[in-house]
Amino acid sequence: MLNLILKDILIQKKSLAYIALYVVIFSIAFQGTGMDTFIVIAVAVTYQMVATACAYEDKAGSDIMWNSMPIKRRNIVLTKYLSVLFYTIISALVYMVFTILINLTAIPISVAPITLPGLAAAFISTILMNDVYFPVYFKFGYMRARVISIILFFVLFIGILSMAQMAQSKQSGTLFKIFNATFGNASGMQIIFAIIVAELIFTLISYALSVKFYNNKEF
Amino acid sequence: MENILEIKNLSKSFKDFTLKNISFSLPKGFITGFIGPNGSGKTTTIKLIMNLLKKDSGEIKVFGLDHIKHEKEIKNRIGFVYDEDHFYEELTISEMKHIIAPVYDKWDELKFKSYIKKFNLPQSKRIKDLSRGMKVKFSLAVALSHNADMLIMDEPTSGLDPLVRSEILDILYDMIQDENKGIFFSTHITSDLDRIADYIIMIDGGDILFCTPKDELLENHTVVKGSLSLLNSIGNLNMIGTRKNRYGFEALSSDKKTTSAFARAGAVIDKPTLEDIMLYYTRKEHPHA
Amino acid sequence: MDILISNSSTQPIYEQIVDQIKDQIMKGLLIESQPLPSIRSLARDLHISVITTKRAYDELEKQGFIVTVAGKGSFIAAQNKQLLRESRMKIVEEKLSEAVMAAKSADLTLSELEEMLKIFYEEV
Repeated sequence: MLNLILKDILIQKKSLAYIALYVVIFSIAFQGTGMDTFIVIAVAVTYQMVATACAYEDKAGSDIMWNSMPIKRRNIVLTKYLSVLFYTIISALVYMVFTILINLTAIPISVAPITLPGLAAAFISTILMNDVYFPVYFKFGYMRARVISIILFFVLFIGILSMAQMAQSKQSGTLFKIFNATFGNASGMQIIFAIIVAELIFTLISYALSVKFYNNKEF
Repeated sequence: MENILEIKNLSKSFKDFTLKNISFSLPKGFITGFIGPNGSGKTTTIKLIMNLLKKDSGEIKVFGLDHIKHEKEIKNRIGFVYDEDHFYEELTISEMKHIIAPVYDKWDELKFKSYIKKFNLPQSKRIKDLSRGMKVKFSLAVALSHNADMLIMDEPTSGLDPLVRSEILDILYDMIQDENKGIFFSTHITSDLDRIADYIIMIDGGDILFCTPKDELLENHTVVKGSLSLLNSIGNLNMIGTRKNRYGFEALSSDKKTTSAFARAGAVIDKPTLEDIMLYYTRKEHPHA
Repeated sequence: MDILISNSSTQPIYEQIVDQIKDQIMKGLLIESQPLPSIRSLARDLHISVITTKRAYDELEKQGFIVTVAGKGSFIAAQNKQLLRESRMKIVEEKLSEAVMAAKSADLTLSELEEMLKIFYEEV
C-alpha cells in the first residue's frame, strides 16, 4: 500500500517548487501576526497536495486501472487518508529547511520555529480538513468535489471564526455555558485528550463514509 | 474447471442502453474474440466482469469463482489491456512499474524486463511521451508479468499500425501455448481475429447473437451476390442482412441449401470474413443503419 | 515439414493441412515415427486457430495417417506399404489418363506420346 502513497508523491515532484513558494509567501505574509504561521502553511500545503494528487487521478482515469487490480477499494481510500500525514510531514520539513536557511543567511523575515504543540495542531487541522474533503471527493469525484469542498471549507471557516469570536467575547450563550460546564475545570491535558478523541471519532466516521461511497461507485 | 469465464443471465440497465440477460462461457486454452459494433455492450460486459460496473442481476464466475466474493484473488490472476491507458502521464515507465508491481502477488520482474527489452520500451521516458503503440505494449508487458491465467483485452489494437498489431498477436499466440490460460479479446477490428481467434462471440444492442467456434462460423456462412431479378425469382429465403442497390443485391447465407440454390442460378459466392459476418448481422438488426 | 495455407482457397484450412501432410507422407517426405509439432505450436506458426490444427490432426488420425500418444504428441503412423503404393499408383493413373486425353485432343499419336514420356522420364 505504501506504493500508492509513493505514487501520490511521485506524481507531484514538480510541485515541490510550489510548496517552497507557499512557505515563503505565507511566512512573509503572516510575519509578526502572532499566528503560528506553520499551521497555516501545513494546512495550505496539505490541501494543495491532496487536491493535486486527486486531480492527477481524475486526469488519468486511474480509478479504472486500480479497480482492475487486486486492491481492495477500502485500501485505496485508506492510502488517501494516510497521504495527508505524509504531506503534513513534508510541509514541516520544507518549513524547517526554510527557517534554517533564513537563520543562516540572516534575511530579515521573522519566522517562528516549529513547536511541538504547533506540529500537533497542524496535524489535527490537516486531518480535520481532509475528513471533510474526502467523503465529498469519493462521492462526487474530483471536479464536483472542488466546488463543494470550497463551500464546505468556507462554512467551516466562518463557523470556527465565530466560535473563536464567541470565546473571546465571553458571551454567556447556552452553548458557551455547556462548553464551560464540561471543560471549564478540565486540565490542559484533558482538553487535548478530548480533542484527539473527537478527531479520531470524526476521522473514523469520515473514513467509513468515504469507503461506503467509493464501494458503490461505478466507472 | 474447464471454463475460465462463465456468465449467466447478466443484466445491466442504463438510461439509454440495456445489457439483456446475456450468457456465455469461455473455455480455457483458447482465444475468444468478442465482436460487435460500437455501443453494442462489449466494454460494458468487460467492466461488469471486472466489477467496475455493478451488475443488476446475473452470475459471473471467473476461474470457477464468484467474481465479487473472490474479487482480489481473481484480479491477481487477470491481466488487462484496455483501449485507453489509465497511467499517470507524468511518470516514467519505470516509476509506473514501481507503483504497480507490489500490487500483484506473483509479479515476475525478470519477465517484465524481458518484455520491455522485446518491445524496445524506453524505461525512463514519461508515459505522455510514448506513442500509442508503446503505451499498449507497456500495458501488455504489465499484464503478462504477473503470471496471469487470463488476459482480458478491450479494443487493444485500435489505432495501431499493422506491424505493431502483428507483434501483439504473436505475443498472444505465445501465451496460448499454455493450455491452462485463456484470452478474451474484444474488438471491432475483426481482421485481427480472422486468423487468431478460436471462438467468436458476437454482441449487438446488448444481446448475444452467437457464440461459436470461428472456423465453424466462417465455414457455415457465405456471401451471396447477384442480380435483383435473381433475388426476386428465388426470394430472400433466410439470408441475413440483405442489401439492394442499382446493380444487384448482397446478402449473407447461413445454410448450404440457400447457398447452392443461388450458386446454381449463377450468383457470386464468396467466403466471408469476420467483418462481413459482423456487418451483415448488424445490418439485419438495424435495417435502416 | 512444409505447410502452406491459402486463405483465398475455397478449401477449409484444416483440409488443406490434412491434404498437404498426406501428400508428404505419400511422397516419403514424412516417414514413420516422425514427430509432428504440437497442435498449439503449429497453430502459432501458421497463425491459425488451435481448433483448426486439432481438427486436422483428428482427421489424419481417423484416416490412419498419424497416431497421437497422450502426453507425448503426434507421430506419423506406420503406413501400410501396399496401400501407399496403391494410392500413389492411382495418382499416376489419373495423371496418365489426363495426359492421354490432352494428347488426343492435340492429335498426337501413341508413339509420339511414348517418345515424350521417355524424354520426361529420363530428364526429371
